[in-house]
Parts: sequence; structure tokens; C-alpha cells
Amino acid sequence: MSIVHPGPLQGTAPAEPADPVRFEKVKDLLHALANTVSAMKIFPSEHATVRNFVDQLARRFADFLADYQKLQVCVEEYSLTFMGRPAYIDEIATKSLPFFFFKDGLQALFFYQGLDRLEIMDFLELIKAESQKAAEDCDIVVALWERDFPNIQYYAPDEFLENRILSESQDLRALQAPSGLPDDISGETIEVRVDASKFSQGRIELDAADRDEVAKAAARAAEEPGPGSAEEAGTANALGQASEAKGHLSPAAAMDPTLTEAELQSLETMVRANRTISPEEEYIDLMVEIIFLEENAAGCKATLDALLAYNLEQLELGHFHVAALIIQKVQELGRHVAGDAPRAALIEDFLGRMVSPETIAAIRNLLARTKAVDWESLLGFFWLLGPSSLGLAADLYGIAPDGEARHKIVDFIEKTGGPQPGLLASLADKARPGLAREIVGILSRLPGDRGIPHLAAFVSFQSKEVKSEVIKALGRARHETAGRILAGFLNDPDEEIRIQAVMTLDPARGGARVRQVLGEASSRAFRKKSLDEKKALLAFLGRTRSAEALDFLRRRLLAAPLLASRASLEMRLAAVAGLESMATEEAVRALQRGAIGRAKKVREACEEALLRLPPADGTGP
Amino acid sequence: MDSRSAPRPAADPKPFQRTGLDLLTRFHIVDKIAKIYDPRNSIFQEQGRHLFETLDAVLKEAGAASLRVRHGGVLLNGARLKFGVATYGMFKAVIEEFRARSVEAVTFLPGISREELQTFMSVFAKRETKGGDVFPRLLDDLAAAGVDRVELERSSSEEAPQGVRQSSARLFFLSIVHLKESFARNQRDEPIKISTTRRLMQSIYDHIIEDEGFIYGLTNIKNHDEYTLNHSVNVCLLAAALGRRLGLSRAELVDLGMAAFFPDLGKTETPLEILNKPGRLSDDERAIMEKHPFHGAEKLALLREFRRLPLRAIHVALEHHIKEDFSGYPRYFRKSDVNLYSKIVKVVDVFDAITTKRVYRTKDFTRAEALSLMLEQSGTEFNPVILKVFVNMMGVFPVGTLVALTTGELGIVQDIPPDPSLILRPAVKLITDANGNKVDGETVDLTERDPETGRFKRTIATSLDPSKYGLEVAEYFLAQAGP
Repeated sequence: MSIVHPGPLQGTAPAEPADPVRFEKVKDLLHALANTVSAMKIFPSEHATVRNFVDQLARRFADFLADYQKLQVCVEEYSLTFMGRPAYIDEIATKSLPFFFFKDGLQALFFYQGLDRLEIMDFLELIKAESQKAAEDCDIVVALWERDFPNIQYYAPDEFLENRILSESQDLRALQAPSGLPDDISGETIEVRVDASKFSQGRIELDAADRDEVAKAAARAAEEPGPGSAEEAGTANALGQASEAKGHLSPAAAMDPTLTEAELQSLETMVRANRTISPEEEYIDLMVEIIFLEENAAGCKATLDALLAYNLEQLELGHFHVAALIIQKVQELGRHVAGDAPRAALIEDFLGRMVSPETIAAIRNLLARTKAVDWESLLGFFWLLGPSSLGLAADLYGIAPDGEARHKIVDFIEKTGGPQPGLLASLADKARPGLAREIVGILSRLPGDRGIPHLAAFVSFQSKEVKSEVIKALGRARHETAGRILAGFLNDPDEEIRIQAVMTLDPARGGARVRQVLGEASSRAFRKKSLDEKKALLAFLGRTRSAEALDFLRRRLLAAPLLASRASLEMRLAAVAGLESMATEEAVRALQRGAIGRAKKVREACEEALLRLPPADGTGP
Repeated sequence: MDSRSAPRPAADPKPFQRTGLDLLTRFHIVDKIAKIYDPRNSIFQEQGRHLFETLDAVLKEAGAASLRVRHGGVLLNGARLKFGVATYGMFKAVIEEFRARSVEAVTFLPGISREELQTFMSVFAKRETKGGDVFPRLLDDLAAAGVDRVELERSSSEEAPQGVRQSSARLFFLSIVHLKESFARNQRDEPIKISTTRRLMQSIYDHIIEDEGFIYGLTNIKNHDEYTLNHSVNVCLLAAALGRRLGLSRAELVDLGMAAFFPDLGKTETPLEILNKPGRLSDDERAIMEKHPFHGAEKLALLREFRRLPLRAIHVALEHHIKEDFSGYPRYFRKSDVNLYSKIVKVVDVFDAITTKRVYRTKDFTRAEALSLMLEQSGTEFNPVILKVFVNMMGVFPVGTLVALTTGELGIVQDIPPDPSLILRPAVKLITDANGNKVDGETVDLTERDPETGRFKRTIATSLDPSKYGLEVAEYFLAQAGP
């Protein structure tokens, strides 16, 4: 009877409507309704097109209801009828508005005066929401019932529900009608039949005890005062107490039926608490209790799996605080059952599975839908997972929508991964240079240069930016391995990286490096390097200020072949740079000698270097 | 109604709710007083003044004041007034007053004077509601009394009680069919048709507000062969009705109904020889039996269509044997409270269980005895406030109770008066005359008085055990649902 209809439905169609003007108005209105529903399927509700449609529809409703107070529309399979005639027809089931109502057993809709734009909009939104649901979830009658519109009512007879239940029951072939029920229960309808004639056949003879009870009660009733007595005053309690004192009425009769203020308050508190508790927390609490109560390992795992699936759903919804709650509560359960090894192992396994490719996929799905992600609570979830979530956080870095979110992830990675620099370094991935740079930064910031040895992992990276960051970090580091790692970059395929590395090398710790560079500078391969790189390498030698380096540089500068090749010229120019960076008296003297040489370019380079350096006698330029 | 625009509720719903409840309460008070007193009586005058002032405030704010009874609720100017446990009786009484006169809406128009309002209330309250079509006679009375600033709208949605009852009875059996099918599907690991369950619960709610007493009557049906199914449907109906008394919303009541529908799903895991064992269970058997809440909850939690099932259904399945003092079973490891729905279901579950004859129980109780027994365990087994509301709802003599009247007649309680002060005076269908001859008698109202002596015509002497006299109480209700 899901009902709500103000009278018998109109019968089948008369040939002509009694009021053609009214019929035409309804026709227009129903077309406007269908068009608005269609528009809302295409455009968002706030779209100008939809607003325009809704305005027109609301105007039509207002005009009609002002004239006629009520609109009753009957629903047929593919049409909406008014006064027995089709006023709107759409026979394409997939989009037909009449069919959308009809399929759930809706037979009539009633619109009353008082219906305003807001209620119309709510009605349209409801239709839209229902039409977007999966078939097994969509039921417009259920939705209308739940929404309970003040000025829109409907009629959906219970026969539809009855048919649905019986046909679903019949689908389950093995079922038989519950015994004791009417014979035709498994048929198409249920008929309730009782032979009422037996109600007036025969007698009921009370047994002695009951007869006695009745007689006593009748006598008491006769003795009781008439109007004005306690009972007459209308209080059941008074009667109850009076009778109870005589031992005749039950405790229920003796109970004061009025709820006290305290009882009302207690009830209100219970109802309010029931409305305000977070359903997510309630669910998790319940599942955790079920896991606790489950004695069977397979059952326990099945429930944990269900909780895991719930976790993924919540992540996809962006409810990270719920995921955090799951961890907290399952961890608590884990501590509680620590002595039960098989169950503790299942819980441990569950916590491990909280971080999985599915987790990142869920968050990825969320990010694909919305940018409004609460990163704080997401990271709150990660905090609970600890270092095991670092990989996930690293994955997230790549899909984070903005700098702020990335900053928060880096902060989490730094704080969580800090104690394990090796783990941190492993998060860096050649395919994610942005994150790699951040990790380089984190590793370089770790106190005591603890992260520096792990920067070696970046020598083989492709990204110039990453390597450049690593070189900078190594340059700042005092750790003994920094130079060794930097030396690794001297063979980098990228010249700029090689130059940056050599310029960063610390000359004070250069013993082995000096020999390496000297060897390199003496090799044939050196000739193939660019002038800039040659200069950088020899400048490094210069900075070491070692006698070995001075000797090498001086010899290279002053060696003046008769037939100067480009290679020998570049070697001499690079030696100028080396001597300039050496900036010792011996170096200045060597440059002074070079400044009077024959080769013009070398001479000019030496002159320029000398201008930048203090003179050998210390007076300066 | 004329064509004037319908008055609208105020934008801020909270003060509007307060004013609306105030108006309804004043209306109810004056309606009660007007049945007894003349309009010149000082109490009538005093209460009439309060009603007028409240009405005047609504008229000033909204332009008109229209009280409408719809879907078992009351709307003021189109907005539904919310009732709670404290106001339920008043709501029900007003609704009954409207229904008895076939009135759907009363609209008070601006300019109404206090005198005209009091005249209206007097005529409205005193209008005899028996015998033929009341509405036109009420209109005539009002016209004769010169009331023209109150408009009445006739209720046109009334189904004949027979039709509603037939529909209710069919719904009862449909619920059993659907539940049986759900149990079977669950055992076969097939999806339960949850959307059908939800729609069924909505329909049950509609029937409860249409004819609450008859629904209670149907819960007298005790199908012993299908005990679990029958019991679950009874629990569902009684829980929804109790929840309504507690002030739960429509949507909450549907969820409660669904939660109360499935708590014994776990019994499919319990061997039948334990479920139906006569006499005491051994410790091992008891341990197995006490597992059924857990099995039920676990099954619900793992349902594929779980998302469409109210979460509270799992609560109820798991907690419906936990007592108010937190004893009972199962024992939680962390949770320290029980959900409201579980407390509600706990009360109705026990009530229905102990009023059903079972092989393992040495005694089954009449409905009246059951309430008394339960009251003895208020606060330990049951939440005392919920139990109290339940007792008020069922009445001292619950619907379906076989009673002997002081007249010597026997009858079956049909309906409980909404006013708790009249809880001992329900409506009773007479089934024998004073000499014990069986009759298919009328339903009498025990608040009726003998006009000559001023005394009540009939009073309940005692309640009786129907099984002792070979009576199937449920048949008397089902007969009312016959074609």
C-alpha cells in the first residue's frame, strides 16, 4: 500500500477530455518535465540550461496548481496520462520517463498546490540520482518514500511488491511455501481465509479458578465508587496501585505509564547518540569484534578481507581517517590477541596488506575524480602504517596534484624514512626524477651526513637535474665518501655534470683525486674534452696547490711547440686556469712568464689572469 | 480549499517546530476539554485563550494555519511536525480525532476571533462520530454555529478498514515468504534481495501508521513449524512500532525494521536438534546455541550486498542477546555499549519468544504475563525506558489478549487507547456473551460509560490463557482481513 493517494484513480480513458484547455496545459507541463529530466542527465544541476528548464517547469506547475490546486497523472508503461488520455508518450524504454516510473510499480503521481521550485528541484534531483544507480539498486518508489515530499505524492499498490516477492521466491525453485500458510501462497497472490462461522458456534466454559477470578473482579467493580474515584480521575496508575495492593493486577498495571523527565532525557540521549555516531567507526568496531569472536581461521581471514575491501572503498572516497581508524583498531586487537599466534599472524598479515598496489590504485582513482583530497588525514593514515607506507607515499608523490601536497608527502617521507637512509634512497626511482631530487635533498639533510654514502646510488641516474642536486649535496658534505662519490661523476657521459663534479671536488682531500686527474690530463682522451672541461679539471689541480700539480701546470703552460696545435693551445689555456686557481707566488710567476710568451692567446689569458690575481710581490693589481 | 496559495512554514524550522507542537498540544487539550465542558466553563475559557494566542502567533507569521493529517503524521502549513516519545499519544489522539470525522485538514483563516475558535472546537469535539458519514454533518453543525473562518478538507484517502487489514495480513505472510527466500539464498550463497526487503519495510511502516492495533494483532500469529521465520516477522513489526513510539524517523524505522528482520540468520548454522531440543541444553549445546548471534552477524557482514543493508542489522544480529547490564552473549573485547536498535529488538524479541509455545520451554506466557515478567527484569535484562515505552505501547492488556470482562463476557483486546491514562481500557472484540455462548461480536470501547450511572459499561476482570480454551487468537484478526 505504499500509498498516498487522495482518491480512486481515474478509470480508463474517455474518448475526449472534458476540459481540453486543461489537458493541453498538462501536456505542456509533462513535456517540460520530461525535457528537464533529460537536460539534467546531460548537464550539471547548476548549468544555465538546466536552470532555465527548471524555471519554466516551476512556472508551469505554479500556473496550473493556482488554477486547479492539484495535478494527478497516471503512469502507463510508456505514457503519462491525464484524465484517461495520454499526455506524454515515450516508448524508448532506456530513456522513457514513464517507463522509469512504471518499472517500479508506480501508478500515479500527485502534485499539490504549495509545490515550489525548491521541491521541484529536489524531485528532479531524486529522479536523476535514481536513474544513475545500478538496476538492482534503483527503485523510484523506495526513493520517493524516503524523500517524503510534502506536495508530491504517489500511488504504488502493494500488488507490485507482492508479485515481486512471489516471483523472486519462485526463482528459487527448491523453495516450498512455508507450511501452515494459505495453500495458494506459492501462486500469484496471497489470499487470507478464515472460517469465521466457527466464532459463533459452541460455548466457552471457564474453569473454576478463572470463574472465581472474574466473579471477584465483578464484585470489586460493583463496590468501587463511581465518578470521582481514583479510576474516574483517569489515572491508570491510581487504579493499578489500588488494585495491586489487593494483589489483582499485574506489575504492568502498577507501572506509572508516564515517562519522567529523567527517562525522557535518557531516551533522547540514546536516540541522539544513535544519530551522531560515525557509521564508519561503528562498522569498524563491529568488524573488529567479529574478528575477535571468530574462532575459525578461515572465517577470521574472510572478515579481515571484508575489512580490507572496506578500507579500499573508504580510500576511494577520500575517507583516510577511516583507514587510519581501521589500522588503530586492528592494531589494538592485535595486541589483545598477541598470545594467540595464528590469529596474531593473520592480523599481522592484514596490516601488511593495508599497503598494496590496490591501495595506490584506490587513491589514484580518487585523485582522478577530485582534487579536493585531505592530505593531512591521508598522511595521518600513512603515519600509522609507519615505514611500510614509504613506498606508497613515494608512489603518491607522482600523482599529487600540487606543490603543497607534494611538500607534505616529502615531509612525511623525511620524518618516517630518516632513520633508514638506505630505505629512503631505494625510494628514488629513475622514472621519478622529481621525487629523486627530493630524496637527494632529504639524504643530504640527514644529521651527521648519514645520508651521504647513499647518494652513490644516484651516480647512474639519467636525470641531469638529479645528478646536479647530488653533486651539490656532495659538495656541501664533509663526509669522507663524498669525494669518492663525486669522482664517480667524473666519468659521467654528460660534460656539464663532469665539469660540475670536478668543480665541486674538495682539493683539500684530493690526494687520490689529484693523481686521478693528473692521469686523465695526461691521457690522449683528455685532448678530446672541451676547453671548459679541461679548464675545470686543471683548475681543480690548481686548487690543490700541490707541488705535483704546480709542476704539471707550469710545464703545460710553458711548453711551447713550434707548430702549435689546437690541442696544445687548449692545454696551455687550461693550465692558465689551473694556475690562476692555484693563486700562489709560484703560480703567479709562471703566469708572468706565460704573459711574455709568443702565443698571443696564451699571453692574453695570462695577462687577464694576472690582473685578477695579487702580484707575486704581494702588492696586487 | 479555495485557490489561495498554500501557507508556507517559516524559513527556520526549529522555532517553527516548537510553535507547531505548541499549537497541536493546545488543540489537543482544548479538544479533550471540549468533550466534557461547556464553552463557558472557566477551564475551557482558559485553555481556549492559550490556543487562540498560539494560533494567532502562527497566523501572524504564516498568514494562515493549516493542520493536515497525512501518512499517519501531522503537517502544519505543509511541514511535518516531528513527534517524540512524550508527544506520541497526543499526535495519535489528534490523528484519530481527524480520522473519526473524515477530516484531512483544518485551516484557520486570518481574522478568526477567540469566540469563533472556541465555538469551532466545541462543535468539532462534540460531533458524534458514529453512524454514517460524519463529515457533512460536521460541516452543517459548523455552519449552524456561524463558524466561517475555519475551512475543513475532507479526507479522501481513507481505505475501508477491511481493505487495509487484508493488505496488512497479506503483507505479513509475504514477509515470511521473503524471509524464507532470503534465508535460502543466503545458504546457497546467492545475493539476498535487499532492495525488496527495504520496500517491504516501507510498506510495513505504512501499514503500522494506518492500523497499528491490527498489526499488533497479527503478531499473535504463531506458526510453530516455521517458528524462526514467523518470530522474525513478529519481531520486525513490533520493533518498527516501538521505534515509532520512541520518535525515530521514517528512514530510521525502515532501517530498524530491516535490522530486526535478519537477526536470526545465524540460526541456519545451528543444528535443528539443538534448536528444537526439548528440555535443558547441555553446556556444549548451549555453547553452540549461543554462537548464533555471532554467525548471524558474520553472515550479514560478509553479504555481497551488505552495502545496501543498514549497518545496524549487523549490530542487532550480534547484540540481541546482550543484556542491559552487559551480561548475556556474546562478550565483546572492547565495545562497552549496545546499539539502540539492539536494545529495542532485545525487548520485542523476548516478548514474542516467551509468548510462543516451544518444545524446550516449560511454560509459555500470555501476553499480559509476559509484560509483567519482563518488567521484573527491567534494568538488568532490558533497558528500563525502552521497556516502559513498550509496555505503554502494548498496554497492560496487549492486543490479542483474551480477557474476561466484569459483565461475564469474554473478549479479545483489539486496540490500545493512545492516552496512557486509559491504558486499562482498550477496545475489545466480544467473543462470548455473558453466558459463555460464542459470538462473533462487536468491538467495544471500554472507556464507554453507562449514561445513567456514569460508570464504565465494562471493565476487564482478568486476562486468560487462550490455549486453555482452545482459542487461536490470531484467527480473530485474520478474519478481519478476509475478502
